[in-house]
Amino acid sequence: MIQTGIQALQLLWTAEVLLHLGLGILVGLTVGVLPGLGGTVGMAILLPFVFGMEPTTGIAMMIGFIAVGHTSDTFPSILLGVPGSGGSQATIMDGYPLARQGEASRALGASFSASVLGGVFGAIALLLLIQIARPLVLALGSPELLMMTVLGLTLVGMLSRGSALPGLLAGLIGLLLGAIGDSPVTLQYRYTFDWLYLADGIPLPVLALGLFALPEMLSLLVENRSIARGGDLRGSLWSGVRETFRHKKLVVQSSMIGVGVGMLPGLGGSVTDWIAYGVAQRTQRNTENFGKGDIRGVIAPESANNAKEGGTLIPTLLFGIPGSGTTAILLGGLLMMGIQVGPRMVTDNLDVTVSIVWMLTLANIVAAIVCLALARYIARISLIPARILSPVIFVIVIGAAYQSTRSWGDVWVMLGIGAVAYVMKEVGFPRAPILIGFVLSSSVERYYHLSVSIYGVQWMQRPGVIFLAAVTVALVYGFIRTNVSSKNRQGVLK
Amino acid sequence: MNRDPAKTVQRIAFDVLLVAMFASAAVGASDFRQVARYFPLTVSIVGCFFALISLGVDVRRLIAGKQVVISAFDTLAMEHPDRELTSDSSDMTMRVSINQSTILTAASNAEKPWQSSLIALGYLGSIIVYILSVSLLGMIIGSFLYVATFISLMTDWARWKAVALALSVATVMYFLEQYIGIRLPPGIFLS
Repeated sequence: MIQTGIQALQLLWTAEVLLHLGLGILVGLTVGVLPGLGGTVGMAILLPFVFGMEPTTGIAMMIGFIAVGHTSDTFPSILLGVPGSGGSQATIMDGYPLARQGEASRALGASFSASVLGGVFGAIALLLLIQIARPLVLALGSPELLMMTVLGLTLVGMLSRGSALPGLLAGLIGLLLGAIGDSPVTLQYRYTFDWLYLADGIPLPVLALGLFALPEMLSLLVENRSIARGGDLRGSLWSGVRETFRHKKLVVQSSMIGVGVGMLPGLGGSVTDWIAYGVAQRTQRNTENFGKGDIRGVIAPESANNAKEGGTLIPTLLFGIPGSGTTAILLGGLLMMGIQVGPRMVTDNLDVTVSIVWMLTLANIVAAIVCLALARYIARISLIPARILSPVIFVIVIGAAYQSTRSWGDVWVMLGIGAVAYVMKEVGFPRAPILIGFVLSSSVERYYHLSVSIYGVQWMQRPGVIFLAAVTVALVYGFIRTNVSSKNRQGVLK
Repeated sequence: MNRDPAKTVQRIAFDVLLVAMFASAAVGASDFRQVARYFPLTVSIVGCFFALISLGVDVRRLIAGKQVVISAFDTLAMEHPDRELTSDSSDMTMRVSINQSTILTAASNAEKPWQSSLIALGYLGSIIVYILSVSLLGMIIGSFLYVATFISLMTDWARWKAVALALSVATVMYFLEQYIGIRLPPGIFLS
């Protein structure tokens, strides 16, 4: 194995490969900074350039892109409260409040260092797991995937502070919004109101931009302040980096979640950061500041979403099953270059697999260095008064929403959701659970239908289902117990 | 939780909206074919049930909140505008640890949610006008006009600075469209 590792490094260590890796990193960082674009669009832009390239060079460019998209997407999430991509939604929960407290630099420092550690963890996990993951992935059927989505849905209650009722309602709204469009189980269009745009459902970026970007910008305008309320920046990048190393257990825990969820095809990468965030909120001590500007709320999702990329590559390379739109295009690119994915990736093509691990590691490190170098300057955005910043952000947000399906429906739906989300923000109604419900909606319906159709009621007797059900019940029990004890404490104080 | 009566009223209005939304979703779901019906019907019925509970909780909170406001504001502040209300008063109704100015401040704060909602509505209107102008003139020209006008009207910036910023935004968009391949909304008249 060591010899293969050295051979793979030699394969990578040529000027041409490094140059293309750098190009991929550059495009990845740019796409990440632009809200709403996401990895799939970026990969679609890169794919024509890969055609006809040497396999190692083409792979370097694509892996460079995939590895770093979730590093730079943190800039808009933390500084503007606008999700840079589907994988950086949970970062807003604490990153944006930190920017509002003038601690944008600290949040960015923690985010980039967590991203690089998560990315490297994902790369190592890819190397170790690709040889043993086959029985694990094949053992997972629809019932287990259904239970994984149910586990994800339990986060709905955990993400709403205080009473669980608004969180539950928000989660149900998300599930209902996810039911719009064609049914995943039969040929039926639902809630489309005879509008062709809704036939494919509401795109995730449109919902995320509407839920977070518009309300935040409207609030800033109404308050007429800069994002950093105090008008100055406190905390340094390095204090954020130190925080990440101080919470190394959290980084490892979140990275493991990232790899685990990433390697399950069909669960969707957008939920990884929420699961990592929710689990951090459950497992860490003194969590009363989660959602108000706790640095751990930045570290957890950022470690997870970069580690996820290593996990996603396991089913992609081992079975040819892409876990996301980005890896689907990667798969297309690999096939175009004549690389047959499958079990041969750990036998005949092991050097290619190991070189991918090296590329993931290198790309994550380079991206973190670039982002850390730029962060100090970009953090100053949070000092710009709202009346100057907001019109520019509105332009970006509307352009970004339009990229989803490139139709006017994107813009109008985003505006409608944004108006309702502003009311939600004003009345203190949680918005994050809507996204979780939305992301998991079609999975819950599809996997439930498949489980019942294939296994009947016996799907509940599978060992994996029982194990995951036990984990879910334990999490819910822990949540109720913590809530009851915190309410009792408040009662005693009163 | 939220004790501000004006906010609670907003919350109740939102709860009513949720009940109506889930109820109409349930009615809509009953028209779908059987397999496609189960999921949205279940979600909307459960949602309607919890929205009704939320409505009940907020109405209760409003009634409790109003009692506080009526007793504190109407009974005390209106009848005794010249007297400070302290906790050592012999009269039971005077045993309130807040003075009149605190009550008046609370009353004025209670009006703010509506005021801020109106301001937000104004800004939302400006975005709708912007989108309409984009649909007519295209993203680049529409955005240039929007940014330049907005900043000129809302800040004390010199006009040339506002135009320069708007021009920069438009140039970046042009670059993204021409060289990166990002497609921007086209206008009916210009694009």
